[in-house]
Amino acid sequence: MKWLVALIVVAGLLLAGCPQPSELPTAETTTPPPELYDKTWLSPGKVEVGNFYPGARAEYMISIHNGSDEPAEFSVSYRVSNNITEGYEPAPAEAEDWVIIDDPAPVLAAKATREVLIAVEMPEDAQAPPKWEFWIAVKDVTQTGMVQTELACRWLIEMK
Amino acid sequence: MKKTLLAILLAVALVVVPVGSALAATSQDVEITATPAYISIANAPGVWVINDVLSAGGQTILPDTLYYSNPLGDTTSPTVGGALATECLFTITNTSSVAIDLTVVFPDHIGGDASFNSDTGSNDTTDFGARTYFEGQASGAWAIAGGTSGTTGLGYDGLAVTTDIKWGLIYESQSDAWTSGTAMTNTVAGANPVTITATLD
Repeated sequence: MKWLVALIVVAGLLLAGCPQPSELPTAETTTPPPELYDKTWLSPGKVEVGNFYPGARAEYMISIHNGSDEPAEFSVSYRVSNNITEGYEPAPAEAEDWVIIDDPAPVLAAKATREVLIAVEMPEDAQAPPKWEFWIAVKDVTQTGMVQTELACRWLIEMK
Repeated sequence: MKKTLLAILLAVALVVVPVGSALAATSQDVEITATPAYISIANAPGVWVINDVLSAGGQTILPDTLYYSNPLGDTTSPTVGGALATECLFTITNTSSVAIDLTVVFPDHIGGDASFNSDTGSNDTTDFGARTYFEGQASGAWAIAGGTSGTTGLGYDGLAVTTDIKWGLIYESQSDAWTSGTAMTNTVAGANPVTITATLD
């Protein structure tokens, strides 16, 4: 029994030494300027993922602010990029299935800000160009009329 | 003895399983950085009645006809050498903290004799063509407003912070007459709108 206890303790210590997933990156955060309080906005403008590889996961929080005087529902969705950053290629067609949006239809109170977790999880057997791009689009779906506005965050992925 | 064993197992578990790791996180060695910009735009008006900008066209769309969101005339082209502000119906304001790019998606019509976006900027027998034009742009720069995000060109590159620009839409109706021959409503609005998207420049 003493040997069993010792074995459990050693095994636990060895496991504790194993590599752990990284903490969610808390990139530099800024306070929005006061003139944006009454504006609907999305931040950040761009997320860059480096050293990515099949089987890996990358996640980041985006922030959405409802600048209206009324509550609003937003859609948060994967978007094919139609204006590719120089040096990057469009994401593979199947990349949409790799992207996880924690809350695709958040409802925000007037003047409220909400964070939504976005993750990209590439299957181990998947392939992608060395550098590829997709967008995360945010739209206030309470808009009416023929012409509506949308905001998008660029996600730039660079493979290992 | 059993209590001792249980306590040891619990202690080991607390060491092995850090608090807060219940959700998968970014993989080790993956690097993430973000540009802490605020993307924000305002556009007005949100309405364009094709062939009725001046409320005189009766909203009737004829086949094989070019229509413009031009306050000077529904079928009057903007100046090809550089669209004038007076020829643009819409005003977009960059209220972001950075310069932005603008792209426009013009979806397929729904309802009636539904017409589809050719994604070429020009019409064909059963599809319409759509483009955008921005103040100051010559006709060669009038970008395709495709039916989906993958088929749309860059409408405007690098609109500066706290800057307005006027812009418009071009719609070229399909060249064949609609099949039913019956007047009907064909919708691009509400849940199926023209969408202008802003991204970091």
